[in-house]
Amino acid sequence: MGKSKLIYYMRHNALVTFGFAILALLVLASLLAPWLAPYPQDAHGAVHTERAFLPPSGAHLFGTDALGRDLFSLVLYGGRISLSAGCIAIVVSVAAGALIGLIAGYVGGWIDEMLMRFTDIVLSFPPLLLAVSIASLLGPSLSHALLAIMLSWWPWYTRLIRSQIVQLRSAGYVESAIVSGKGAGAIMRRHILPNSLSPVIVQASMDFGSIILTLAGLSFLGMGAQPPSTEWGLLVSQGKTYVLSNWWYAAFPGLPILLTAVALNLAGDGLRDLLDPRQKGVTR
Amino acid sequence: MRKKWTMTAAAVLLTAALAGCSSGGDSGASGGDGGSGSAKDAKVAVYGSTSEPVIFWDPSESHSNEIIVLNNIYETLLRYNAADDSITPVLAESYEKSEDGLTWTFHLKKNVKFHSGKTMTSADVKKSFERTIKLGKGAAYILDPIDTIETPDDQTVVFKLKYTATLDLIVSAPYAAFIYNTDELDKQGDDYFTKGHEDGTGPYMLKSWSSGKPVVLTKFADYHEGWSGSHYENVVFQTVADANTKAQMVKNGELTYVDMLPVQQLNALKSDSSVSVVTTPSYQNLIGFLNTKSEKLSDPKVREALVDAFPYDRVVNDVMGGTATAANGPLPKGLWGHDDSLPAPKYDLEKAKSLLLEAGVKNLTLTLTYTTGDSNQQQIAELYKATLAQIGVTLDVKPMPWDSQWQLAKATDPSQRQDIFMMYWWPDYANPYGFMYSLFHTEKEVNYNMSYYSNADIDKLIDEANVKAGVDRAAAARMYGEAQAKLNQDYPAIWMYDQQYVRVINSKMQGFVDNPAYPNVVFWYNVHP
Amino acid sequence: MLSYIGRRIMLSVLVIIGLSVVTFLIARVVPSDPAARYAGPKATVEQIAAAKQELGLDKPLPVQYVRYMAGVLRGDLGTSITTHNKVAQDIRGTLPPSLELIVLGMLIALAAGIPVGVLGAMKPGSWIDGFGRLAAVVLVSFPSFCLGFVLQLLLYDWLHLLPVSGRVSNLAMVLHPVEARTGFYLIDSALAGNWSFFGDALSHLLLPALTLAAYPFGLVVRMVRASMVEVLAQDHTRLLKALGMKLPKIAFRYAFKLTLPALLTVIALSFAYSLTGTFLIESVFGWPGMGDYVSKALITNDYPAVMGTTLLIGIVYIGLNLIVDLGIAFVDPRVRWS
Repeated sequence: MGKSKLIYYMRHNALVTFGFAILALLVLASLLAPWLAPYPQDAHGAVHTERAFLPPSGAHLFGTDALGRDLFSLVLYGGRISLSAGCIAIVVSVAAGALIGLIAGYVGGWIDEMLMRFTDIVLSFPPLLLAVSIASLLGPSLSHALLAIMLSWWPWYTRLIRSQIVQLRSAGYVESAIVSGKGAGAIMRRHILPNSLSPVIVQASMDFGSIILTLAGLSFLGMGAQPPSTEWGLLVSQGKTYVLSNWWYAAFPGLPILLTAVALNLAGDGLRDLLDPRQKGVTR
Repeated sequence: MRKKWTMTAAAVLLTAALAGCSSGGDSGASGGDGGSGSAKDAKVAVYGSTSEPVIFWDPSESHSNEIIVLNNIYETLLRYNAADDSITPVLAESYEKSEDGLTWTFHLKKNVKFHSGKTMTSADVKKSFERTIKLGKGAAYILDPIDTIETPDDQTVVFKLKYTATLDLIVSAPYAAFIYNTDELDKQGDDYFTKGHEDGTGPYMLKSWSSGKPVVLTKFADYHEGWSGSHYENVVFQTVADANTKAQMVKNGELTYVDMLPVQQLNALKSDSSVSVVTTPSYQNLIGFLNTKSEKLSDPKVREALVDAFPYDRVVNDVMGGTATAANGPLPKGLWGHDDSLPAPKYDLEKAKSLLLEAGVKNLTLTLTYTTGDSNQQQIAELYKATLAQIGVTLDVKPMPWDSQWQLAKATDPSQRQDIFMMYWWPDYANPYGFMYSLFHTEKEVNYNMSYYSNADIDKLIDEANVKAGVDRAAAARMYGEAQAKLNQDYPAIWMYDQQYVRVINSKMQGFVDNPAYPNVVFWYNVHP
Repeated sequence: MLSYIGRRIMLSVLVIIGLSVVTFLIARVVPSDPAARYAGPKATVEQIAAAKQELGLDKPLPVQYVRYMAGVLRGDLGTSITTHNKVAQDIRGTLPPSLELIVLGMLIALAAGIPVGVLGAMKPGSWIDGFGRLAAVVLVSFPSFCLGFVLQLLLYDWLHLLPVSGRVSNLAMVLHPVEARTGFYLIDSALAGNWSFFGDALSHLLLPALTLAAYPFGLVVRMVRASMVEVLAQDHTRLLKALGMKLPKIAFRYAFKLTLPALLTVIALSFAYSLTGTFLIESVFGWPGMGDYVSKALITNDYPAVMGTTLLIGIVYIGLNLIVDLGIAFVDPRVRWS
């Protein structure tokens, strides 16, 4: 029993390590885009119509697009947009969600009731539909798509943090801290936040993947990033017309989306097992 | 260990089974032909349309893509042939106009039956036109010159005009000129057609339709031209938005005709023997309107620089891959009034640079709007942006949904409007007036004159040419030529290209002539399987 | 329990009203000119003014909202700007194709996901478990539109197994038409006994359904595996094992029943996902369903169509949430008190 469990974890951790490695690679590649990209000017408006639709080769690892731009360079630069956009979305959602959750959970009473009902209402909106409505309200753009994603993701963290706090409040050491007259800020900082952090980290790492997918989906539908951006989802959508004739155009920008999402899911799975074994295998 | 393997195998099999049962279902389906389609059946033609074929079922309201269907159900008095600038009789056997050009008499063909069985008379013609004029929807404004319609006998219709006009071309128009049975509307209610019914005289009748599903037409046995010879008996209009799918389907014979395809797919299909590619100059062009009212562009020298900096050859050859030709004015090649003697603008970056220097313009930043999702416009905009960057002009390219693009162009505060507006244009019927008047005639309220151009001389020429056309088309054409030459000296717009229609058709489809006066319409009766 | 149900239903009604206000505002504040679109291409100034009046856009916003909601209560969702049909009629036409797709996608996901999840839970760490988990992760992470392309290339372009897009081939449409009774092609053709049409429609349905099934499949595998592992670790299953019962029998006969609540939750969640997941998939496969309808409507600012579909999808989504919450509350009494 003991031995098989060990093997199980080893194998599991190998997958987790694999996930983190892919992620690190993608992040590194995007960060180093100006040095790695063979044609950096292609991501900044250069157009070479004479070499459009070249298949993958030594000169163009991922081939070229309709305007003769090197897809490898575009994808590298696109990573900067897609990954940082995803980061911003997740950080803001977590921060906003956590803050509201903290207030609701700590203050309690009617404020709690009000905040949580509001959270419920927002949660009742189908996420893609909300994103899509906002895109059509404010006009399609990457920042509006991001805003939409943040608006539909924060409530999950509010719920999570609040339930953690409600549990923790009744924990002995927090009660004794309250009794000993420590300030609310100190109690949150010292006792509540550190303890509720791990489920949030787990959730956030899984959500990061979904956010990358949603963002790409919105761009694909024409409601996210707009040309001449090199956001991955947008590149796929531009290559969509040529799937059967020039497969590389949609395939190579699509690949990093898949890899990022897989990596984040594997990493999230591992983190959950390590940090928060109770939630094992439960996704929403 | 062995057990584990069986389980893995089971899971793999499951996946395979899913694909397997699908293929089984398919072969059981349409008689064992996997990707087969209707076009393989000799009597069925399938039109692959990029956008939904039907919006307006009412022949009086029609003004968009539904004409590809309606022109096979309904007919007009005459038909205009763009290729040789001639007119063919359809419901009218012959016609004549008075000396002053204000009275036109049409003699109708006898024994023409509506699909409901009624015989068509002059009263039906009169009532059709009168209803279209009264409703005032769609393209009804092209009937504006008509004053009264008289019916001295069952086979004769007399039109009295308010001013001279090309009535022969108007009654040939692809919209607003259909003859239909208005009695049916009196019986069934005025929204009878709108609900998806019809009663025309055309070769095909509506068999089935509901929103989002293909339109199916079937032959009208009592059609006045008869059914001898080889004809398609059923015509299906199917929406296939995705270009890949469309290319595959026409290659496999699932589609008989495809309205348009991106250059990439066209090149791949050109060598395929199962299809033919038919290229015809169209009445449509792409224009980049320069905001003549903007402070940045009020100097004609700056506008000339922008015109010179546009990479015409690369747009026509690389982006459009030969599906477009260079333009020399607002009127596309193939439409009467187009003047071949006008010089086409040339790409000359050095000249553009020195013009900007002359005008004393530095650090020019301009905004260009185009319609979201149009990949041709997008590629052209980005190419233009890269070109302008070489002479120190920054182009801010903004893709917008059409409504928003247009709304911005009509902004009450002119300083908010764009500097360059990309838009396709085409005429409502074979008449240059639709181009010249809508696009460059002075407008009190901004509608389609996206250059906000206003020039009394040109206004006068356009107005006079329109009236002249009803009496002397050649003279009118010369006047339009003069107006274009004058326009070109003012640089109100960039003539980006004239569009070519490139259709991919099944190689078995015979006798197809693309008539740009009826955009995207296939007269299915006239082609043969 | 009753008061909990009551409270949740009340909340759902509130949310639906909120949804209607928000969609209305979003749709109507958009800086565009629906009347100009409605009047058709190249409309004259007079025609646009007439269209504005016809659509009631000349009235103040609150009046428009009240009129709209009054219409909604009568089942009138307004007139689409682009199709010029009643939105309710358009939805009636596009809902069956979407539902057909969603239901088949769910069936595929369950039929494949449950066995993989159960088998994985029986032997944690085994090959089958590893395969299942990896497949789940990859399929949950696969951008659905990319998966659609991959399947098109694989099953259409290379293997020539399945048709690439559309709902049924033209040949079947013309030669063996089926009377539209329900709008569900499979049901209509089965009722009519028209099996060639049935097969044709099914073959068209498979590619998009497989694509749509990917994400729910991942969810099902994960959820079933997790709850199964939990159930199998419980004392009574251990007892059954001690009594000599074989593991597969325990898993599929007894333990499986205990995972049903979790399974129902995952079904509802997957269904909710599929409702909007079809947006992307229908656009890839040219599937004439609601997703295709609403994404076209969005691009063209067709606000009555957007509002109608948003309201409908929102209501279904809220309903599913309600079912999930009530289901959880039923299984786990602690929730009711929180």
